[in-house]
Amino acid sequence: MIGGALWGAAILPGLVTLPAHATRSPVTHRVVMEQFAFSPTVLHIRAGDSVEWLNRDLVPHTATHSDQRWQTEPLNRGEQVTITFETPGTETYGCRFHTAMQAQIIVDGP
Amino acid sequence: MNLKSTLLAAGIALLMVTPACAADKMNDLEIAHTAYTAGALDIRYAHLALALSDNDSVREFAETMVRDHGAVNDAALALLASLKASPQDNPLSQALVKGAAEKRTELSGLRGKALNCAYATNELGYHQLVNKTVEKDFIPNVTVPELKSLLKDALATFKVHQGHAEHMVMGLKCG
Repeated sequence: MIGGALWGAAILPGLVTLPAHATRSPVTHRVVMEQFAFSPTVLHIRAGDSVEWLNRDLVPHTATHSDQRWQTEPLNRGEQVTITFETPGTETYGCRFHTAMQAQIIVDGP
Repeated sequence: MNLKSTLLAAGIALLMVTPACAADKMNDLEIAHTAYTAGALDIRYAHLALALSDNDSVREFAETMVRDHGAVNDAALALLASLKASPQDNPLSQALVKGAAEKRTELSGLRGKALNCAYATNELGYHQLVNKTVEKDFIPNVTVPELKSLLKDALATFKVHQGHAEHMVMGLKCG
């Protein structure tokens, strides 16, 4: 989808003007909780994209914003949950149960 | 009670039986029993701390122990069920149970900072000893691949707990 939109823009420069947001569909990115760490530790996404957390550890983890503006329910092994981010900015978060687990999502404009 | 004496007290039961067990080469079912027992005993310590302590860091740690050791033990039970195997009681498990009962009696008589420090230092010593046993004795000797894998995952969890316990002890300024 993204590739197709870019191809079209390359063929007809200046002839087709599309709103920026029309050139890209929202994407779901995956963050894995494994070995008591988030992977990737820093994730760049676009506003409107979603992040899916998957826990592969034996024990429950959460993804909890540093100011607790948002958080997931505790995820047991094999469970996953998705959150959509609409606003640009840096989201620093960690596991509520294991505070050494820290990561960031950097949300760019659409 | 300082850290050294707590470690010594917590370690007596293990040190008295570990060499003999290592020489006897505990079988997989005995190893599974002892690993499960160690987790269950730590959950009991945690419930005691939650009942008696008002300290936030102690309560947070105890809640983590209940949650994490419960998850590890649930995984162990599920694995044993899938293998159609039953864990086998043994001298090391029995020593752990006896030592933990004595420690719970001691903790039950304490309050305030004395309780918090005794719980925290015991958790640090307990995890150090259990982690050493799992890493040096259990994982090398266990033969079933699924159990070995579970023990490796569990050890990673317990090492995080050990680090958490170190921070708890330092934060409590137990001296």
